[in-house]
Amino acid sequence: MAAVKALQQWCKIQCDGYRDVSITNMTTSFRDGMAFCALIHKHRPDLIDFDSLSKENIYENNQLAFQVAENELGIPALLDAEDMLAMSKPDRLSILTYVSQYYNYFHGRSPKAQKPKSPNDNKREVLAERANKQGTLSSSCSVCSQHVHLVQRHLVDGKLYHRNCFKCKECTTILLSGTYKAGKEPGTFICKTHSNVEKHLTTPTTNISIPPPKTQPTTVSRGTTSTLKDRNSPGGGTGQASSTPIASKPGWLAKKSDRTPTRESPATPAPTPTPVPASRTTPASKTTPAPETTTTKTIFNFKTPTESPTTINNSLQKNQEARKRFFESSSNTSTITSTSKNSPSATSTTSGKGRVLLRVGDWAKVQDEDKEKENEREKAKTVIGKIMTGTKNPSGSSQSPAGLTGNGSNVSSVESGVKGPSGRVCLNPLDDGLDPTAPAAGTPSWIKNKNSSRPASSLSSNSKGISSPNKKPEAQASGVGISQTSGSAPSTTNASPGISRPKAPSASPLKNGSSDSKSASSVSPVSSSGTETHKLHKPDHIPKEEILKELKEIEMNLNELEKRGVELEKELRQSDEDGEEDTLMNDLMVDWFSLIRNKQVYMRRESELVYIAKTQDLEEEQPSVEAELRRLMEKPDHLKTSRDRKQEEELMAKLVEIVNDRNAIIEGLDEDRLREGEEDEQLNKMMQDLDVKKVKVKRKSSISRWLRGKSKRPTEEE
Amino acid sequence: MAKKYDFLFKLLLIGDSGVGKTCLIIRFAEDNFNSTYISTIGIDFKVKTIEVDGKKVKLQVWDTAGQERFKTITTAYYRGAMGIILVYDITDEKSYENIQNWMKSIKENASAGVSRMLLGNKCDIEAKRKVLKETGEKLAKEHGIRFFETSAKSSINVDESFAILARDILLKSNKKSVSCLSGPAGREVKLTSTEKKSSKCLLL
Repeated sequence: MAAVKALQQWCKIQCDGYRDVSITNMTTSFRDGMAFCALIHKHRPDLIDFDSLSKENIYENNQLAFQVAENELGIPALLDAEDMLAMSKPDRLSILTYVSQYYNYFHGRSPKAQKPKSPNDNKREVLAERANKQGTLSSSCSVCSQHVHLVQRHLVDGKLYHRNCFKCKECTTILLSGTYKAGKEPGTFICKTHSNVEKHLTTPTTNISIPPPKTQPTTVSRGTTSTLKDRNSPGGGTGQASSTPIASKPGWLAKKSDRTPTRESPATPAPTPTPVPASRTTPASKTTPAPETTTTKTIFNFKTPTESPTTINNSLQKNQEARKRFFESSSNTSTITSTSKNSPSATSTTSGKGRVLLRVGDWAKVQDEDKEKENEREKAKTVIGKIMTGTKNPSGSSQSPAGLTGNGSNVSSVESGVKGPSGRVCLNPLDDGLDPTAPAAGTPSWIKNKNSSRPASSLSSNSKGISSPNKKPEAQASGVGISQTSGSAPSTTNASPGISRPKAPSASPLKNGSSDSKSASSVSPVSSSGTETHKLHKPDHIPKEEILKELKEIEMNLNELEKRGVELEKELRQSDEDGEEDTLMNDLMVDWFSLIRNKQVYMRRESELVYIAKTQDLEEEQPSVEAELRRLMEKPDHLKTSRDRKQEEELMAKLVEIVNDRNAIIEGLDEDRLREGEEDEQLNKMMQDLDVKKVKVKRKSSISRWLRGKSKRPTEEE
Repeated sequence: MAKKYDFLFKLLLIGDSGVGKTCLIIRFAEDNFNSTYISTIGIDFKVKTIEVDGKKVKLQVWDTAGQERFKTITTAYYRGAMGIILVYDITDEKSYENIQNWMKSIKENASAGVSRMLLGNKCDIEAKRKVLKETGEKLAKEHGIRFFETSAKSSINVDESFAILARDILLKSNKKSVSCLSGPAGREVKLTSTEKKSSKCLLL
């Protein structure tokens, strides 16, 4: 908490000497907006005419500060002037978060920076986004005007949509965060892969579109660039670093769906999911969180620091966001990126898992089946949330997953939206059976398809398949891409998704998944040897097939964990309602934490694999681009046509881009590492606290001792 | 869970065209050597994790093109480097003389306080030597930096020099993190590993 004090102190110092500004706390001292204005004026007197301000104009002062900060400093307005006016005591958490942004900005770091942020910053950002725009919140979808349930909430540009309703204008596939850009008409959106020029679309299918040469005339290099970017950007949405929007197979492909509010997987620690819905509910219930928190049931004096749940939450979300950011960084629409960035936490799930494979076709069906489970989960989460916040005072509890409690109040109205508990509904574009040219059906879209015979389509946000770089000039075809496992693998997987389609429950996708991996892996060795051409790989090179295989395994494991998580939640909820002994709850919590731990492990491995795959892709692409460039450079000047020169320039840019992308991966990995380190610490700490509690409680009852014998000790996790 | 590495350091190699920067990096990262000269285009990097003082250090070693025409591209990468290695060719006195210019380049483009090191490469070709070892040592001393004569071809002093530079950076970063009393948001991402400060810097 010293950080809060320090922040307050900083504010005090900054605002020292300003008329009518006195920083005595992080709530009411900021209410009239004078403090914010003072902070801005202190560093940028050109932006605010402080002398003309009066403390009576609460609304105006706040509005001014928020607007100026947003427009001039790039600090998104987390607070609402109306709310500041309406509440006699503003929400401490929101103020803290917002002020910290000021601190970051004026203290030398820009909140908008693409650079790796410290985990703290990330956390703050996450919190900030959670506390995002309230007051103005409606609960009707901007598209269909129907009520939007918590899990379905999808906020874009301040407007609310059902995740389902947020579709691409061109191909009507659901757009996932980071995969869309503004459409022709204001207020509409289209997949990043669509261009305004339709003629490039060669495939008739709605889902698959060819990556148009972004916004420029296509050249060899540019083609690759756009492909790479396309591959990246659609994936951008996914925290999980999968750049494909859809997954006919690998679950994480669908990660895009991560971004949506519905993303929560039951296995996620309660705190994780709850804050997310909280984020959505926070806006709506912003004015009510305080009162709600006071009604929190205090099951037991659970000393768990509220930071922990939040952090787990944040970290998981962070994980996703960081990855998303990486992939988005290569997108060329920075505005979209920032938009999606700003709204990610609102939409993205902190559940690490968040894989939801969208099913375009069988949407409703899935929804119904999943609603129940989702409901359960939501409720369970709330309970857990309440437990976590325990006896904290209103302000305290409002901090931590501010949403936790906020969510509580909304639990009853929560219906599961999109996501099934398993989160995975095998999603296949309707035409997957029809389209033989979507080869890598089995493989994540972000994995380049080397097979140049395919007419390639790049992914639009919802289409399955792989974006084939081959669509673009063959110059790269040779070097580009990974040796794709033969068509047989994809076709096998093609089939299975088809089978799984009618079935919503995770069971089937699971089965399919496993059969897929088997077939894929059995097929691949044969084919890969054929397709592998020149590459002399480094000793630790992991072949694509293995990566995919491992990813599938991870997915299976995660599914299992999720299932267990759902049950655990139910149990927790049950015990909560029954007013069970603390000891039992404790045990469950321990299990819960172990579950989280395991989940984290899988998630991390998964993202690591994805990173590895991406790096390998890039590394394979680089030599060919370089060779081509070299050839051009060696050409005597007088023989060079202007086209040559142009191409040379572009290749050079492309080469630098590849290197930068590789670098970004390294940096992303490093960020993850640091963040994960912190996560681990916090998780351990929580478990230790649990242990301490356990010990204390143990003495009380012999029954609990007996019960205790059964549970796993958290320390064993190490 | 064993971490893959404890620190990530970014190193940068600069020097005239043809002195052996790429070969040094390839020798370090892949333990390989190619006698065919292929001029580096623009920029590239290789990664290798080594152990320094019991810590796993991941080194991201950037390879710059020595040719003038790539200067704009390469100078952009100076800033991110924690350690810069200046390389000259002992059989080419011009490359040695240009070290002064490279030093200037560092001053202009790199971060303040970046660790540096001077390497005299191709020490296996004694017959064609044009720059004495003492000369190199002297220059290094003037700038207060370490000096090694290396040979990427014969694998002489390559691993050692990288390891020592990494160690220097590690020590520097340790000193920094200890003395870095952070404010609400202070936390050096790159240099400090998971050394946690007692105050979590959480705003909750």
